[in-house]
Amino acid sequence: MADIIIKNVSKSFPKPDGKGTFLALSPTDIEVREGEFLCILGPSGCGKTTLLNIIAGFEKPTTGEVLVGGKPVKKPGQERGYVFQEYALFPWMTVAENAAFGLRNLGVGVTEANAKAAEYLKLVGLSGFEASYPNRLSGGMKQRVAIARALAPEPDILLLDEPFAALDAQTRYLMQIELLRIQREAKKTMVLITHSLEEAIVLADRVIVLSARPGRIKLIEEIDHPHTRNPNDPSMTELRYRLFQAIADEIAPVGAAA
Amino acid sequence: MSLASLETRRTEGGPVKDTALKLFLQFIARPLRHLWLLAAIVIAWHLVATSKIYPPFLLPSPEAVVISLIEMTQSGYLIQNIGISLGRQMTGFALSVAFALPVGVLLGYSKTFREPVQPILQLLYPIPGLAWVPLAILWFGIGVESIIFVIFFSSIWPLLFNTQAGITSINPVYRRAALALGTSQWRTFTRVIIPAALPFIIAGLRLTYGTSWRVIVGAEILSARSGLGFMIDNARGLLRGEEVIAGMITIAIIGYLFEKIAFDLIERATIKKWGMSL
Repeated sequence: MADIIIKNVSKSFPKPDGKGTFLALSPTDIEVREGEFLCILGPSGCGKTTLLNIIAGFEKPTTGEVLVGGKPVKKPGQERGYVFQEYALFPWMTVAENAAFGLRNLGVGVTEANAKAAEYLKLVGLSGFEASYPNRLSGGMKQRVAIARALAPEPDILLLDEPFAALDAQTRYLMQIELLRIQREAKKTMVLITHSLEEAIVLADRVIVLSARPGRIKLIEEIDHPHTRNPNDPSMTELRYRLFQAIADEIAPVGAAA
Repeated sequence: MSLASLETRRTEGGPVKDTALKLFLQFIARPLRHLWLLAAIVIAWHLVATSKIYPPFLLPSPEAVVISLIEMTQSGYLIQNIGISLGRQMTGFALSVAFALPVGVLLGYSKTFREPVQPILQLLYPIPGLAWVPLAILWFGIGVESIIFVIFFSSIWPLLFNTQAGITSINPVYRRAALALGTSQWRTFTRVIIPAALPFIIAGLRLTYGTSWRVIVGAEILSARSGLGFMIDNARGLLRGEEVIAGMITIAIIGYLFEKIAFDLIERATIKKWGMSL
């Protein structure tokens, strides 16, 4: 089972001056269905990464709880893979060692782990780079390795924190298409954080828009499935408009004040 | 695969083969390009020395120093003392590493360890290496033990504090990545924390190595009957200025070559290859 239930989850952080706390994420309820591709869209500082970190178990919620497959999340676990915005590959390991690392943690033998890692490197289109070190790879290739590394221990869920934010537009689009293919082939539940509404339209089965801080759910959009995955398709115009408006409302007060 | 190769920047070439020629170029020939200033200094030295303003035992000519170097090499005297000094340095350096590396790791890793231990270390740190010499002589007499004792207390510091800084300054995303991949504490330590701190650790090793070499010569002047430090002090007593300078040049060259070659090779096999150089 790999559904995620987010129940009344909120997060407060201590203020920088040490006096009191501020609310980063308002109490939030979300159910992520098994096999769903959910995109959480929001302006900077809306608590979307905080929410993802709580699902991952990196941070504890101030209120509420997250259930994964019915069990409360207490700490990070291998059923939830995580892909970081800054890739977070281990530069001292080869591509193959990076991809096999999670499996080795599970006690899988070297040969078997390497074979499995090679499968996932093939899935992300990186066969032949097993012996390279990450610093030899481009940003897009690094993120492919990071995806293979997260997938190799076969988590039910993949959590992605703005994974393509640092890539150029073409590479980003290629990576999005790859990710969709991977999701179909590997049948994962995916939660992806982004501030790009195009990215959400390409990837998501459902988009949740969070408001500016303190983050709260502002809009939920189911996207008809299968859809074109083309953010510029005429059939997407209305959805695009609604998403844009939801985000623009959130950043407008800042713009107006300036 | 086709997408991936589109994205390839420049992965061809592979690791450079370390041939003797490459080593010669890197450490000897290429630095020599910029030695014109040194050559000018030697020429000026030669002119002043041959003008006889100063007596030769105070300012020997460069030629006399070279002759002295050749003679001491031929008699085996120089090689023997180099060997003695290097042996002591290696022992002291090994002891320093054996202490400073684990303690530095603990300082960076554990607050419980850091809080009582750090103040003591900070009090010991300002004591200059040579200020340990009198105590060393009292405890161990003149000889190897005193020298190694002095090397130890002089050279542990850079490695100790660099290792601590390396551990505390690790990008937290590496720890998170390890956590998300279900890494055990021990494996996180050996496969993530230590390699991530390696740029700092290697810089610390380099400094600790250099300090141990510089201190040994000083310690030998005060507390030994052999070694390069003793050799130059002995030559001073015999008013052999050319031997003093020949000994100092030897100290400079041995120190430079050993540090440079050993640590450049280590860096190229690790952090340079991984793109992690500081």
